[in-house]
Amino acid sequence: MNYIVEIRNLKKTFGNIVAVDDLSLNISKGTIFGILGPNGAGKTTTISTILGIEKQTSGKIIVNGLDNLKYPEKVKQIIGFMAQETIVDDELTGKQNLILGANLYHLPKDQIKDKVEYALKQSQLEKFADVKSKNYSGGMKRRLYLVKSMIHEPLLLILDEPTTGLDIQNRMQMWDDIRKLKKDGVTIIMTTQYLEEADYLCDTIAIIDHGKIKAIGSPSELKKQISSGNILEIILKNEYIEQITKLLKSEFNIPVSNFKNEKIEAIIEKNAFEIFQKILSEIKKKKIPILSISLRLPTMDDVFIKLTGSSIRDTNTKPDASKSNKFAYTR
Amino acid sequence: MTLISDIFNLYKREMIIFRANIFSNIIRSIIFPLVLIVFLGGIGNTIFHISVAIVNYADNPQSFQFISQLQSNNVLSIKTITSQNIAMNMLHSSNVSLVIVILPTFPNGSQNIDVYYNNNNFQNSMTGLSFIQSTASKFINQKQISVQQINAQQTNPQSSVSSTAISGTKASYKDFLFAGILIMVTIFGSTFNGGISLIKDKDTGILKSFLMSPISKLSIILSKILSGITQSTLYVFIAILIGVADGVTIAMLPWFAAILWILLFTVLISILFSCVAIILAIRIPRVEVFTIIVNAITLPLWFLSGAFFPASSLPSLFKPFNTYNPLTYAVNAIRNITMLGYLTMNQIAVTMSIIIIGIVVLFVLAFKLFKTTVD
Repeated sequence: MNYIVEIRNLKKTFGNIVAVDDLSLNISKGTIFGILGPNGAGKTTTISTILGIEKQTSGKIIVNGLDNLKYPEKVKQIIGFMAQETIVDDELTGKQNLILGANLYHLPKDQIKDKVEYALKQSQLEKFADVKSKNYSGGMKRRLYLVKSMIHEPLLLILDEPTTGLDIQNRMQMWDDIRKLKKDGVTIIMTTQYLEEADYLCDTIAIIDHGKIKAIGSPSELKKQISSGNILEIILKNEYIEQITKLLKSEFNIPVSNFKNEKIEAIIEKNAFEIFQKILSEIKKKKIPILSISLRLPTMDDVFIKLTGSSIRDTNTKPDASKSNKFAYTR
Repeated sequence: MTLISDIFNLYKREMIIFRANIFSNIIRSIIFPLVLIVFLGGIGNTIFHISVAIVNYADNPQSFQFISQLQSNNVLSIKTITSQNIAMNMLHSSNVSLVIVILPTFPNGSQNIDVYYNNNNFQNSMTGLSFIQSTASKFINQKQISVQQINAQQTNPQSSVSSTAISGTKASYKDFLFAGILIMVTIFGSTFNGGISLIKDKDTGILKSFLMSPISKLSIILSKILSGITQSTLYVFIAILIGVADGVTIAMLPWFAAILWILLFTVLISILFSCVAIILAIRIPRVEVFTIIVNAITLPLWFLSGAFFPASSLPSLFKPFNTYNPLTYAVNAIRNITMLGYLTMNQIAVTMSIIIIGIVVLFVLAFKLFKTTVD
């Protein structure tokens, strides 16, 4: 058995709203699995059903060989969870928090003391063990929360946006912690809104939208789906966009793939460098006043935008998959 | 076994949080009994218009003079001078607060005046009684009696004015109010702390982390109820101390039996109201709204239970709310402990069964709601 989580035709509806629609995926043991998607895509619902705090409408979830509906308590025992917000009891000290966590997972009494001490050491909170956690800094609380989530040594750890709101140092620290956990053999499922983070950490990424999987694979596989070539990015004033679009189309047969305010993107499939030079000289010749021009490899951002039709941080816009490859430019 | 240890662990957490805010918790829950017993309890000293019925057996000039003096000071309003039978009926139906019987020997006998009052109306009765005593002292032979002799105690054989409460006890409004205050403190202790902590747990995500762990949902609810019981019991103790220090008498002896009986009823009420709090807290997302709704439910129940004023003075429209109100039975039971000093088997059975039926219904409802409203 190589998979720690097997999801088969998972469906979850809230009234008329379909949050997760016929979703199937397998997560291999010992990997970091990223789930990406815009807001309302069904990430949280998927995670909640795996965790057993929501019951699926239909479909099966098998965690480490156990059906989540038949053995909910055993399944809960092997899963650890860290939510986006830091959940620690403010009125309890760090130590009390950990002891409570250990007791909730029914750890044997003789092990609890050692486990708690080890966890305090791991989180570098030994000195603050008897300080109420409301007096901790944000980073300390986050570390306490991570070791609290891990106190019962779960095989599977689910992280919901683990680094949101952390400063850059704490984020790096969290990345290190996550990699360490992977080394110890823990399988990790994580959601994130930082695509570079997913790119850096995850072995496999699933992009979901409207409750369905849009793409699944390793970051490099996903990027190849966009293009094996490079991406040309030009920043210029809006009034020249039409001109440069025509130029690219007629002279080089490159369709512009993405418009944004004062920015266009196009994919150059082959001989990117040569074509880039030619485009540069052509722009010079026609005296189009551009602000910047660059050539880069595809990133997870490009993958995400292509698949969901929106940037991950466009939180207020509701993406519509049918429009994802059509372009409409309005000033 | 795991259920019990789960409950214990969660209960321990509740207690740590409770201890962390112990001062504000206690002050919040104790401010009412303090204000009500100490300040409102003395309300019997205030002048009221008190309606009385008079039975005049003496029928002599002194007795007529006595009656006209009773009318003089605007304290008493004499409704009627009538036969003893009719007067007692009026007292029973709360038409009058006092019945003054002027005995045939007035003003020269060893027993001159009997005063009957209903123990539902202490503030009136006490004021009336002292006024009657002072008026009577002008007529009764000064050589025979001193001021001490003219007191309301039946036990004093020399007294010229004897008074008989219909329920057979002598008490003040403070004593009357005491039982109601104990129930109020119980309700406050269980609803506010239990419900608010559940809302906070929901809000901070702690509840979610409990739901994700392999403990049963039953243990979460039971630990909340247990913490509600602990807190309200503590508040009841403090309220008893305040009451006793302020001069409330507890009739049942020995005193620890009285306290155990009181605690039995307050614990049952606190379980009942913890269930109410849980049901509300599951559905209500904000503490402010919760507070308003809890007040809107518990205060009318409390008022209509006869905790604050005698239920006999309720308009007939509200009588059903008194009859079908578990608090009525708890208040009456505790009042019998503190004022009469005994409970009848019948009363124990009725009170317990009504509260326990309420607990079973509400607990099942709370658990069902909690189970289906995960997240």
